Amino acid sequence: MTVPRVCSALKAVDLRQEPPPMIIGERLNTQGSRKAKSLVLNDGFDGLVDLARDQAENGAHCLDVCVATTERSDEKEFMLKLVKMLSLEIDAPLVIDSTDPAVIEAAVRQIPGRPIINSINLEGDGGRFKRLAPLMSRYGVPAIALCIGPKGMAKTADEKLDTAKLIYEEGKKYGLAPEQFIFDVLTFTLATGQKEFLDAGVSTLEGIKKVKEHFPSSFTTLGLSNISFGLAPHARKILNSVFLYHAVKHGLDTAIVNSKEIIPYGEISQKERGLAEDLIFNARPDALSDLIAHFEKVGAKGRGPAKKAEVDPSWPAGRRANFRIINRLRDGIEDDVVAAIAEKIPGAGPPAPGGEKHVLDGPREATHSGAIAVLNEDLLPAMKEVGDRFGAGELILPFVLRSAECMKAAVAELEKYLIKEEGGTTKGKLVLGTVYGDVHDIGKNLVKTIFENNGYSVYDLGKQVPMQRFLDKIEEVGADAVGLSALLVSTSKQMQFFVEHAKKNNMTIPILCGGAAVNTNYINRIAKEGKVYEPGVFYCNTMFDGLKTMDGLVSDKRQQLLQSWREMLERWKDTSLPGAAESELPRSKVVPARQPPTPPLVNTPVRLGPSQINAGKVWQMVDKKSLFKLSWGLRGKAGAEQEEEHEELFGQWKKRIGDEGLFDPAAVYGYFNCHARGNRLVVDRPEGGEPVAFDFPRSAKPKHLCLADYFGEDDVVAFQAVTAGDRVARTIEEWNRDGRYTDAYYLHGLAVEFAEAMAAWVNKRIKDELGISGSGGGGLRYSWGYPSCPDVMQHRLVWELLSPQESGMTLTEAGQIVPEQSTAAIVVHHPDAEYFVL
Amino acid sequence: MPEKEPFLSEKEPFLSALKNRILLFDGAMGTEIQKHDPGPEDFPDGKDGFNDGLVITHPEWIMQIHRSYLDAGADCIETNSFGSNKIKLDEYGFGDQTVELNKKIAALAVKVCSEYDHHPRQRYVVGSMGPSGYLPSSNDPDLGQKPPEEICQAFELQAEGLILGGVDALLIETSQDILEVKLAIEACHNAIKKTARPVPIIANATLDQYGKMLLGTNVQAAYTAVSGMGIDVFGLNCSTGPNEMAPSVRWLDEQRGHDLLVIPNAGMPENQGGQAVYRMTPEDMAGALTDFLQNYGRVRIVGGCCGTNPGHIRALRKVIDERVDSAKG
Repeated sequence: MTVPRVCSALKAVDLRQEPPPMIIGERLNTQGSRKAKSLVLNDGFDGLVDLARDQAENGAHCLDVCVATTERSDEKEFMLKLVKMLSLEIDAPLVIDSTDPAVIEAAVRQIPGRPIINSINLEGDGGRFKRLAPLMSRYGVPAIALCIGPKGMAKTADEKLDTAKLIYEEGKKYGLAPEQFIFDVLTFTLATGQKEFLDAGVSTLEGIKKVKEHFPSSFTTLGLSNISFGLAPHARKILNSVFLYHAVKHGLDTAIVNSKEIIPYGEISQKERGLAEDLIFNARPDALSDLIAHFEKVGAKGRGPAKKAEVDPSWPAGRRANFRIINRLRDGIEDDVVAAIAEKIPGAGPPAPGGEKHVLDGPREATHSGAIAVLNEDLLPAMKEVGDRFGAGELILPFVLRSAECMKAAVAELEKYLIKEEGGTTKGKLVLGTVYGDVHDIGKNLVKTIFENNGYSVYDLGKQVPMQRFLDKIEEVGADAVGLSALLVSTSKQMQFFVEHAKKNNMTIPILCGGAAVNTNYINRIAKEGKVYEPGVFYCNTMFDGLKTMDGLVSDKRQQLLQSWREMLERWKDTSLPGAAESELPRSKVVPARQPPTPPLVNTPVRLGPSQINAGKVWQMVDKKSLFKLSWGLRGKAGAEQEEEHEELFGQWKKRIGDEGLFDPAAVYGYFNCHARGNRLVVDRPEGGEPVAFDFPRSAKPKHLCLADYFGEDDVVAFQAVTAGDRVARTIEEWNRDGRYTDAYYLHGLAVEFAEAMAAWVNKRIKDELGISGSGGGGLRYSWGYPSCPDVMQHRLVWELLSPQESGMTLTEAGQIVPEQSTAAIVVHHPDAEYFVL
Repeated sequence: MPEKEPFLSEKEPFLSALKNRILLFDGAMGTEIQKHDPGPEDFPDGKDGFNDGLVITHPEWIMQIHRSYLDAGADCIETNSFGSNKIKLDEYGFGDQTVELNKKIAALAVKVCSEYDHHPRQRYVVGSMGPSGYLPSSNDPDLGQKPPEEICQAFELQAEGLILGGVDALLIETSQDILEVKLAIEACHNAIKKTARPVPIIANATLDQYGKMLLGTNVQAAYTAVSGMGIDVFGLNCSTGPNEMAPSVRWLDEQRGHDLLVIPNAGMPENQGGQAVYRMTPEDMAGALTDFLQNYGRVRIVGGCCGTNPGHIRALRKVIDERVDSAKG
């Protein structure tokens, strides 16, 4: 199955963004924006295009377009003219929003891409649906499907799911695929206090979860701002932001928002978060009045964002600059950078206010090394932090982009203090660019800065550079090296393609690779695979590594450098994949089961929510020894004495966790057809297509075991993933913040052990279902990160098969599971399976 | 090679043939016509350059070119209808005969193909549909002003004629504007409905050496725009040689979506004294396309565009047969 996408004339966008949500910009809408309306009334096409561009540049993946007004009768003509202009200039795909199906039809036909229809529903006699479904079928476009049925808007979670099912079934009649539905489970304002709507927030969240569980291939969206309709602007911002955070945690794929109005969850004060959450989850009868009262007070004072992060002028300048980048405070960053450089120069005074801006006077060598220090100690760590928080789902993309803008401004200022090598001759030529498909260029720009400041000519091809352009430029300028940058794992593959091409065509240019997505292992692998690329493929962790390599390549030490690189490559063993040496190890004597057990169903992940998980059973399975000893650190003599005390504590905690609902456990497991091929276990995808391949290492010990050995040519394998839930992770974090370290410590230990116990519980269920739970053994579970299968990056493969993100478990770039109190495993049914070390 | 396969009384449908073997298309038509050194008097009403009109004045030339490709080993020949949508035919004053002319062109190719019925390998006729010459998604004061409805209609009449003439598949090719491809696909569906003859639809995009269409559409966007529109094969043709196409073909293959068609030029055109020159020899071309077939399982149709001749097709036949033999052996 092809990845579900939409596209403009210029670019395709995955509906499933990682991390979610995919953002639909809401501002180009006459119904919701006064500005848009006045532009439409005055034929302000250029202004509308600017409004679109502004949103796209601020991180909107797609753009809602609604031009209906009561004043104008030419909605269709206006829409056609506007979408034509937008299609030529804006690369974000469009979401066509109109109550008039004829307007939608004309626009979908004329757009040189695959837009989204906004929206379909089954209101009344379903006439609108009957009109638009054929259009979806003809053009293969997705539509936002409002959960409105013949009986009206769906309010409870079950009604929402039922309406989604009804819409889906109707759609089937037109041959529509699940990927074409973006269900809007509807959200109602919490600002009325009406009894009927007290649970509206919970119903929406539950509705999202239910719809996602039932239709994992479909998508969900929300017109986010409805939740706060009627509240003061500032209260709306907070409520919208907190609600978005929870909606995403419940599986929301896309959101229709004004990204400028969203505040990152982590930056909202504990108090305001609490007020919003009490209202959303209907936790207390006076939640609404408290929220209103609070924001009346704050609103009267500030009118600005609730907790606008503020730079403390007493901090060192480097910390200020760092803080500005992380918190997207662009204004004033130049002065902080200059002051930071001054601080790093021993004996230098503060910079003099020079006219409007600060300037620094000092010996060039001193400012140069000061600037390098600021870059390494203050600015780069800030961007790393931003990247980490994005990966953890705390920041949405627009914020990352705004941080990047601050970083750019900081680097531009910094450059003024670097020594530019003068003179007509160049030390060497570097062709540089971000690889095809990747739009991130901060790292690449830093490389450019550093190289140029060190006397190299840099031919910067920008971002999203197709391979052919690199090749052309290399030939045109006679480059000494080429620099490839990639931020994303998916795009780092372009580096591999480049190296393969270079090998095949016997190119002679050294290749420097860098970026967040790559590491030494990856680069060494692509350099070595097949045959070694003799001119060199170098991993450059920082731009200074790159500079050092480049210096070597253009010096008379070049041969020496290449020689030692080749020797390094010769010695290097791939630690993430079985290397050459391992594959030479003999296979173990394990004989695969002649008749693999038959699972009750294959290819369908089974998802268990809190209500389907027998907490009582799971508690019984908690390994108390491990809890007390490992997690609670009860050791030695003192430990033995306190054991009774801890039993008691355990009982109390169990009760407390249950009473306060601190765990929201979830689990997913599934069976898949698989095939062993040497060290590799090839697992068929449910939807067909390229199978998922697990390369397991082989033990060097006498038995030479390898997980793949336990499987036959046509066999079956189970995978499982469990979590104690996100709530506990947040609670621990909160308690730590509030200084409740002991409680946090105990809770953390319990959550870890509970997740382990859940894994055992699910594992037992699998064994029962396979009919191997008897005394014969078999059904052993192996978790990644342990000796038998050490590579946690393989979690990504499991995620492709089981989609645990739909059960609230996501992965970091490095393959770690979030929340931390989760665990995943491969279940081996072979009766002789044992744990082994490599 | 097998001696002779059992004679098929029922023609194997195009799409099932595509699943069972690699289908080889023919090579360039225009340059082959030039070899006959036509003067204005050779074209209908003396309309110089009206290549598609030769079906009226010199059907024997076209038949001979079709035969030369079939003899070279092509499984499929393209009808000589590249410029026979109504908008293009209007330029030569033949727009009101769009259905008739396309039918005639298709029937001619079908006739040539039937001469090869005694051969073990089934041959197919593919209806060629080139661009309208307009760029409907642009704002160009001339090229961007044609209403979408009119462009759709122009292709619908062409597709109708081609279907009535007996083609085995429709091919939308050398497309510069992805909106035009959308409109042409719609047109094909309309014509299929009208004639009640389901015919497979192949939609191509034409990418420059950097993987983009004329107005900046990259392969990801081009494929996304049309892949949900009920097409059977997606492809790339013209503009560049096979090497420049490689990254796009690779991406398309990775999508595990549609079967793919790859019909490149014989290399990037080089300008020599105002003449486009294509440098890839038949062997170069065969080597490059063999790489595609080996690496990208979704590539099921190959052939040659500008700068190719029966020599290229012969070389391709050879490598395709060798692949089959080695697979069997």
